[in-house]
Amino acid sequence: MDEGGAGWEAWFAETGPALVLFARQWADSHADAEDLVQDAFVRFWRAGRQRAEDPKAYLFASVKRAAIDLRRGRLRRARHEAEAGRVRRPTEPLFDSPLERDEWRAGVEAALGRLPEGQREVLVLKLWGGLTFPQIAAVVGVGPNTAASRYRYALQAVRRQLAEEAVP
Amino acid sequence: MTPNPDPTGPHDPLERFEADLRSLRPRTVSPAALCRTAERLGDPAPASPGRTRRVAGVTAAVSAAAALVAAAATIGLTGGRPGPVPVHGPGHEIKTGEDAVTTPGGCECRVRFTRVSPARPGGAGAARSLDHEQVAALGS
Repeated sequence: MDEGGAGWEAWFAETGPALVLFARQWADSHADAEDLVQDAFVRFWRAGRQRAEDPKAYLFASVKRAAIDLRRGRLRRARHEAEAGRVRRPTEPLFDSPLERDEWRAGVEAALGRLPEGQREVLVLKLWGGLTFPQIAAVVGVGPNTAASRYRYALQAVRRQLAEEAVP
Repeated sequence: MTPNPDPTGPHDPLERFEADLRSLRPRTVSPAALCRTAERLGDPAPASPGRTRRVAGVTAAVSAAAALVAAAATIGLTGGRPGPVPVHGPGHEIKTGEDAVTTPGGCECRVRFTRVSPARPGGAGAARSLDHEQVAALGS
C-alpha cells in the first residue's frame, strides 16, 4: 500500500468490514463499532503501520484494545442509562445478506453470539478477517496451535447449533 | 436458506460449511464513517463531486453534537421538554429527536439522537452516544 490518499482507502476498503465485525463483539451497535475502528485505524495509519512487523495483525489487535476500552466505558454508561430508564437499541445484523438468506444469516449470528468469546474472536479473525493462525495468535495472545484448535471447536459448535435448531 | 452446493467446492461437510460461513459478507462501513476517517487523515481529495463537503458536514455535525450534549442532558433530551437547542453558534440548531442542520462546511446533515447519557453532576454525556446520518450535501 502506498503513502498517498488512495493507500488508506485501499486498506480501509479491504479490512474495514471485517474490522467492524470484529469490533462488534464488544460494541453495542454498528455505529459504536465503526467509531472505534475509525479511532484505531487513524492511529494505525499515522504511526503504527511504520512500526508493526505485521500491519494487518497489528490493526486487528489495535481494534481489540480500543474495543475493550470502549466496553469499560460502556459499562459506566450503562449504569447511567439504567438510572435514566433508557432502553437499549435492538440488535443490528452483523452481515449483509439477501432476503432469501436472511434466516441463515440470523441463525449464524445467533450461534456466534453463543460461542465463548475466545472461540468467537478466532472464528471472526480467520473466516472474515482472513488472518492466518500465527497472525490470530498475535492478536488474541495465545499460541498458534491454541488458535487453530479454538477455530475448529468454534466451527463445529456453530454447525451443531444450526443443525439443532434446524436452520436451513 | 443454505447456499446452493457448488459442485467444484469442497466435499468435506465441515469444509463446505466453512465455505458457506465465509460467503457471508460483513456489513459494509457506512459512507459517514468513511468520510470521517478521510477527514481525520487529512485527505482532502474530492474523489467524487460533493465528497469534501460531505466530510466537512459530517464532522461538523459530530462536533456540534458533542458541544450540545451537556446542554441537551441538562434540559432533558432523555425525557424532558422537547424543543430546539442551540448547538453551533447563531443559526445552527438541533431539535430534540431528529433534525437537519446546515454546517459551517455548507452541508445539510440529519442528526438523530438515539441515546443521550443523562447529565451527571459537573459533567456531560458521551458524544459517541449520538447517532448521526448525513443526508445531503448542499451545492454538490
